[in-house]
Amino acid sequence: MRSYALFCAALAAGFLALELRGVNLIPQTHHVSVPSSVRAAPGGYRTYRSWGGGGFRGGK
Amino acid sequence: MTTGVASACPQCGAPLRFGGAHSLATACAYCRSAVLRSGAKLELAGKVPDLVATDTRLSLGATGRVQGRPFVVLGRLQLSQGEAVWNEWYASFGDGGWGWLAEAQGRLYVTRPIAGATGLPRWKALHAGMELDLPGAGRAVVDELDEARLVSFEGELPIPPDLGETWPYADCTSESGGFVTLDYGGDEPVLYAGREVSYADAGIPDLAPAPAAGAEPARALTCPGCGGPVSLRRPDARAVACPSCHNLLDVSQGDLKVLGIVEARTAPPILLGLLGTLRGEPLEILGFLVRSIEVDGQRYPWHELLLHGPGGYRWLSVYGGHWLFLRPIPAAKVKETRGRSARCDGRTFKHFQGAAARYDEIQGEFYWAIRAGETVETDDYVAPPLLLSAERSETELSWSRGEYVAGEEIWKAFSLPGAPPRPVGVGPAQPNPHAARLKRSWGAAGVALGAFLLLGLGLAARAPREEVLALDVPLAQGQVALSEPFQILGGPQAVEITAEAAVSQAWVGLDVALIDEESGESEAAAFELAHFSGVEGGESWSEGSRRGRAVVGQVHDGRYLLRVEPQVERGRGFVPQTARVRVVRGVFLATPLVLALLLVGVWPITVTLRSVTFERRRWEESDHPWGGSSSTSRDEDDE
Repeated sequence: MRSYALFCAALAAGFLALELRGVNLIPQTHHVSVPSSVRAAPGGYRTYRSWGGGGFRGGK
Repeated sequence: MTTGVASACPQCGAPLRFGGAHSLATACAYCRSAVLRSGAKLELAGKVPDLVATDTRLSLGATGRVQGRPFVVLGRLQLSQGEAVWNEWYASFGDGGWGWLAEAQGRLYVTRPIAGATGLPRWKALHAGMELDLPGAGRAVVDELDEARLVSFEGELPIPPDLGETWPYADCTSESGGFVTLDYGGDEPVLYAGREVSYADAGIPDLAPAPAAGAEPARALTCPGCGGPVSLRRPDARAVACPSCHNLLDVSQGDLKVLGIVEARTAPPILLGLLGTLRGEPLEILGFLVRSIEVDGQRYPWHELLLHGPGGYRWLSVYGGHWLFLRPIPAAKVKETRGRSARCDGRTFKHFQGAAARYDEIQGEFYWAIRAGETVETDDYVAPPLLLSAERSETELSWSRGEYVAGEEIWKAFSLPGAPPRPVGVGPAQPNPHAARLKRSWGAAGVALGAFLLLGLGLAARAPREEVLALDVPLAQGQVALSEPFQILGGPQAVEITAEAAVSQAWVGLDVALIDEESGESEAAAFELAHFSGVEGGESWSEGSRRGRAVVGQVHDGRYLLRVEPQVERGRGFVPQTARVRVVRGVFLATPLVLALLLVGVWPITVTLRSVTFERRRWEESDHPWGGSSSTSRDEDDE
């Protein structure tokens, strides 16, 4: 019982830390590093083709 | 209590005394003539056979007190039921009435006639286990139906004795410890009601020392089969197995009578005659039985030890290293739904097993006329660590209440050397070792779950959920929308991106990226906004969602851009001109809460699984295995 209480206390601390830091345990996005050359180029964000996700490609 | 009418024996002239106001007969102490009294007239009624030697704590002239009423013993009936002989003592009470003090199995029952009891059931209408509502006695259950034969008597009697006559009777018990006899000796049944009392409570001195003070002095007898010594420890023993030739001997008539050889291959787990103290009761081992039941053509044996102590007879039953300590209880204490459940002392017991149990091996002595190979119907009901056991025939029903006892406790109680055999499997009444932890774990988990839910609700309520960007994105193929730079402060935190478009019979794809303007690090997500509906086979349907959502975790403070690239296929259905994209900071994340709740439940769920596995193993050997079909025909009959 004592160890369960300790476990719950640790769990609560972990839960609080995750919530307060906004850690999403099930990522819904993917990370992309945009090269500085793209960032420096006017309109670079618009034309950059390597977002990686590829996004939606289907439909009826 | 006595009238003191003195007279002389019409046969031998010896003085006679009718001490009781209700005395109708007496046996002349000198010539053994039975003398009947009718008013002042005395009449001879033949010779009274000699009394059968039985041990008893009572005697003519003995006095005592029951429920505050003093009594004096005036006479004794000796009755026989088959081979067994027992005493019923005629007592005159201080209140002017009379009653019987019956001795059986080391117990004392006091009953008194209930005057004017009418509407009593006929004997042939009775069966063992039948519930009766008796005038003056209340609810009672028939324990035993049998016939009694008047063997002999001494002193005075309140009834005219018909020596050698046989008549039926029914013994019943009530829940409150009451004892009732229905006597069918006359034209109309007579009801005697009373209760079991201890000798001490009745003020009758304890002539036999308790086993705790040393073994009861055994009666030394000689086996008529082999001439070997046979000792009897109990005065009310009805059968004993010769330890030398294994003949079962009938001892109910005083002399030993050979009944036949019995099996005695198995060594008792505790030596016969051994003394010990179990659960506070000083006990002596008297007999040992190997019994068995047959299930699907296979016999399953178990061992039983008969014990005796100041509280009466007790049983120790052992199967697979699992011990039960059983005490007899009145049948009326049990409300049974046969084959399903039984209630006793406010507890519900579940039916475990019903079978015909056979006596396979017999050693030691027994208080009833036991016979090898004899079978009785048994039903066991369990509410661990307790067990109720019913043994029944057409004319008899007896109930015992057992309690699971660890082998170590038995070994300690009888100071046995070594260690008890390790139990195999799960015993029917074995306490579930996980039961206490199960309650504790769910109790603690309930508190923890509640605390986590409260914590989660509190965090969700205080989450800022501040909109930092709202962008209308033109829905044109290839037309990338880029927001103005915007600030996200208060991090690190979770940021939610949502997109909505009122599409109909169409879809729109949105590739969205949240870009840190300074570092170029970005998080990208893809949304499909679609809505299709129709009617097919007379049923309407719809699918898709006009809203998309993604949460970006651990977003640090900084300036950000939102890039949205739509993919649109126009021409089919309706696609609006723009989609609304929002960015909200400081959102509450449900995933850590769900994970925490799951982890909180791991311990109680594990304990529950262990407990369920234990119970499944317990019931595997019952008539009601979990997830299986019953192995008894009774269940099938019930259905």
